[in-house]
Amino acid sequence: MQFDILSESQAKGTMTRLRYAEKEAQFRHWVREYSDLLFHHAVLRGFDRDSARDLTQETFISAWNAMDSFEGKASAKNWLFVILKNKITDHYRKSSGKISVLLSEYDHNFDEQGHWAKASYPRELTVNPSEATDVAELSRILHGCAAKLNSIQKAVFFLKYVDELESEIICTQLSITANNYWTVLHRAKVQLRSCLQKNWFLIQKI
Amino acid sequence: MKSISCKEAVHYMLVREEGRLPLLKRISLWRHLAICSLCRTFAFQNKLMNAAIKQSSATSSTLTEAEKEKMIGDILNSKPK
Repeated sequence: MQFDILSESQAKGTMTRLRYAEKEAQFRHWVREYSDLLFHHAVLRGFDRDSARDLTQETFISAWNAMDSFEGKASAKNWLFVILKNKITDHYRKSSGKISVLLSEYDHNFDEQGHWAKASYPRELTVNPSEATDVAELSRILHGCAAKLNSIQKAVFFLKYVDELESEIICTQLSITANNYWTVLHRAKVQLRSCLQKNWFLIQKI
Repeated sequence: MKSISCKEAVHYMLVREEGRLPLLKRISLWRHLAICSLCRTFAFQNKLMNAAIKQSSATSSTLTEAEKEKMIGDILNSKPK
């Protein structure tokens, strides 16, 4: 009797170890298979290399801790993406707290009458939209400029133009009003265009 | 019809992108763009930016094998919560 119980628990132990090894192998596979996709997703949303890697790692930490609850109904890839997107939203939401600082600043791109301020005059760029190298160069500069936006502008900008979410959804996700949304977007776009112009002319001179 | 400022014109352009600018405001925007070359330039470059941002940046966006293995090691060797 004693012997039977022992062997049963031994068997259980072996089973647990086997399942753990299986889980571990599965996890290794996920990281090797999906980490680049998750990382790329974060990079495309304005996170620098280090932050994107941290977000990817945090995603896998959560996945590892919750792996027993993953039932395989969704694909592992989709499940991981849901975790990552939640982490990005959390990150953005923390930044929306600082919105009042941004809104209290005077918008120097326009004068009191709402006319373009001289320093912010949009100038024509010698860009040929049908030229692939021009577009690639433009895209490279634009990503560099977007990285310099403040976090709430970044959040709105990437949710709108990369994730292509509706403005109502963006407002809900970030807990901001529609009015604030438009102001943030307005400033982000004007600032981006200025940055683009400055850098475009810089490379043209070289 | 009320004429609009450049600042307002930029706002209208952004609302128009979402397809929700009412007709009268659309007309105000057209009228403004017809006389304001600065805002025409902005409008053109705004479209350019919308297209360019979707292009992945040229910088490499993959992790190195070493980074991936370190990630696995860090997570598996840490005590579960």
